[in-house]
Amino acid sequence: MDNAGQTISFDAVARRIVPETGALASSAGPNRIKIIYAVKPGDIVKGELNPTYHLPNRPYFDTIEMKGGGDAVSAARAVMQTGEYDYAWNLQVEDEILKRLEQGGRGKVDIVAGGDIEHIQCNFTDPWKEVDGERSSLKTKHPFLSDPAVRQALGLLVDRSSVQEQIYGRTGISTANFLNAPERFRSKTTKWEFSVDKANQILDAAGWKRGSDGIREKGGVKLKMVYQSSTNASRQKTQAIVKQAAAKAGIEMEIKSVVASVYFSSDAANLDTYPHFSTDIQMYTTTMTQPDPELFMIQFASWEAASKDNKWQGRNITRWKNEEYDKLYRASEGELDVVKRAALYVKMNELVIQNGVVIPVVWRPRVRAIASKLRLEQSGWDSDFWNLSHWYREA
Amino acid sequence: MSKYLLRRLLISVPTLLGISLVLFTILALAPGDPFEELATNPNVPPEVRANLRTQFGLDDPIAVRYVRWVTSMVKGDWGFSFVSRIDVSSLIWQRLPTTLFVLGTAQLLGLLVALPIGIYSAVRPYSFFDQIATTFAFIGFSLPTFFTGLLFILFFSIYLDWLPFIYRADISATGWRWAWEMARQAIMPIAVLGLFQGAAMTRFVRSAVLEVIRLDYVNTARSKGLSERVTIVKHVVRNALIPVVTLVALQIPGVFTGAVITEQIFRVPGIGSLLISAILSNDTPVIMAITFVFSALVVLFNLIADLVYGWLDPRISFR
Repeated sequence: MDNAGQTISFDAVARRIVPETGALASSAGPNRIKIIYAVKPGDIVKGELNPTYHLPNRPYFDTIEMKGGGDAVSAARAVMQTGEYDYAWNLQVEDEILKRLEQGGRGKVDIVAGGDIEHIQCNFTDPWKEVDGERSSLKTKHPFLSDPAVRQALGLLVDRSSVQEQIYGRTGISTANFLNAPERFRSKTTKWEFSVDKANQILDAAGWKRGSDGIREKGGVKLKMVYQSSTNASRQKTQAIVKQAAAKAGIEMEIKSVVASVYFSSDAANLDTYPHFSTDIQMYTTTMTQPDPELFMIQFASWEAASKDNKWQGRNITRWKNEEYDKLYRASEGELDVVKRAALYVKMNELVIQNGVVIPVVWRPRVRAIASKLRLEQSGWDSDFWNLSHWYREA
Repeated sequence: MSKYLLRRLLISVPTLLGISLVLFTILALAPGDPFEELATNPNVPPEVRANLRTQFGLDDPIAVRYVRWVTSMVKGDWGFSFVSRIDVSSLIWQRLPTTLFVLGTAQLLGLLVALPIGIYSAVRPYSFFDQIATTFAFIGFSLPTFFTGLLFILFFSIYLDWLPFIYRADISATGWRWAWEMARQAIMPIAVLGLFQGAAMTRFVRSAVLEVIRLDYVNTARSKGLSERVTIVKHVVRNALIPVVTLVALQIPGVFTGAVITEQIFRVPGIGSLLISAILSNDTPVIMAITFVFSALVVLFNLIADLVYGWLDPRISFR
């Protein structure tokens, strides 16, 4: 599932209580808050109470205002440190900074577990060869990421505990699984490890020899890759951690970051969006918007592969194709036994991990900043505004 | 004079056409397509998307689109924003008052700081005052606005807790309360921009005045028995202002386009942030409108600067 919706809200802060354009229309629904009476694109959305709302005396507040623009840190600051706003959401901000902002005393960080996963994807097609006007075409094969040894080595080079300790803290838990929640779908057998030595051994064994410049190569193919993500301090730090470890194993990584509003857009004409995947590896968070994994796990089904034909709307971004996975997924669609169905998803997740299709980095709960007196209940799965009508402020 | 004006105005027509042609071609060649976003929306059937493309003429050749754009621009129609789905002119009108207020005041503040300090420094070069002013001027223009902006927020919003750091264009209060709230929220962005500009301009004013003050006619004025005040204001400053006027005139178009970075830090809903978001979302009509109006203003203020020369220095004649 993509991040596109989130990036809109990414920048938003709330005054009194405030959703932003997209979120307001889709989740709160037009009848919860009366018609929006002022919209200034890119700046502000205002709404007021709907007097005919179906619940008596709800919502508890009369007006709502949402402010856009700016960045996540300043949104969190406006709530927790200066108290100018009451609510800010989707805070992909280093935990160290959040903790410092919390000391402002005017609000606190609210962390609710869900199923969102920050992960690194390996491209199974060749992003540097253009076939019929399309890069990363399904007709191509990646020159070195199609070698399981390289993907396995990459998995060993991601120091997930450092990423958690130094960057995400409470807001990202290192994990070996792509499917982490709910509990019954999580695989118990998968493990992750950070070991440059092992990565070196695997690459040596697979015949990737170090050249004179220290970069490994085999048959004229060098292990040089471009590692793409969206522009965000946490992501660039993670990229740096991975790049450093990769260099020790003779893999050269070039870091690329794309502005979030471009990267997460669905512009079919722009090569820099994540579904185009015009680089070797890329990293972002896939949100899980419902506790059932059926929709979430379709991302590895072969028929979902993103391509020019489906205008890059396919959900399988890595373009990985595996018959066994397809079979398991088809089976899960018709399986009515709860236990057996869960087992199928556990198996699917294991298949993805064992094949090194993606490298899970951190399992990210939803992070919001809430003013001290604002009372509300949050979900790790639903939109931030699913029960907006029940939000209230303590006197 | 009127002949000169007419000639200059006529020259500016091909200039502006040239500029717009370059802008239009570059934007047309840039990757990305605003309507591709609609492809993801299951509620928008492909036919509707195709209709929209035809309606906005996106499938026509660049030359045809350019001619259409120029003719409607001449008629005062700035086009329709693909992304915000409202007229470009209303989008700009929403943001223009804030931009003019914040940047205009900042420019004014810059001048108010630069003129007296620059002149006084030049009148007494290498004095204690001049040394202090020079030091602060160098600090002022070597610190980028995003840094001073954050520093101000840290000090005034967080440490002292005096000022809000998020700018709200529509404050619901009225009367004095409105004015008070407005002043409180605008003071930081204005100070950040104004002091930055002021610092650079102080140095400029100082060197301009210093050049003039050494000339013989200034000594003559003094020996005529004119008071120091009259000598400086009437004889020195008026002549020294000529280069300063150019600088200020060329900065005024910038007041219209806003300050991208400062607007981002304080979330000022100005033209600068509109431009950035339009560029990122391929909103061609908005980008065209802003960049073109900006170039038109540059051309216009160049002309105004030239005319003001004549007023400041009667020796300059317009031919």
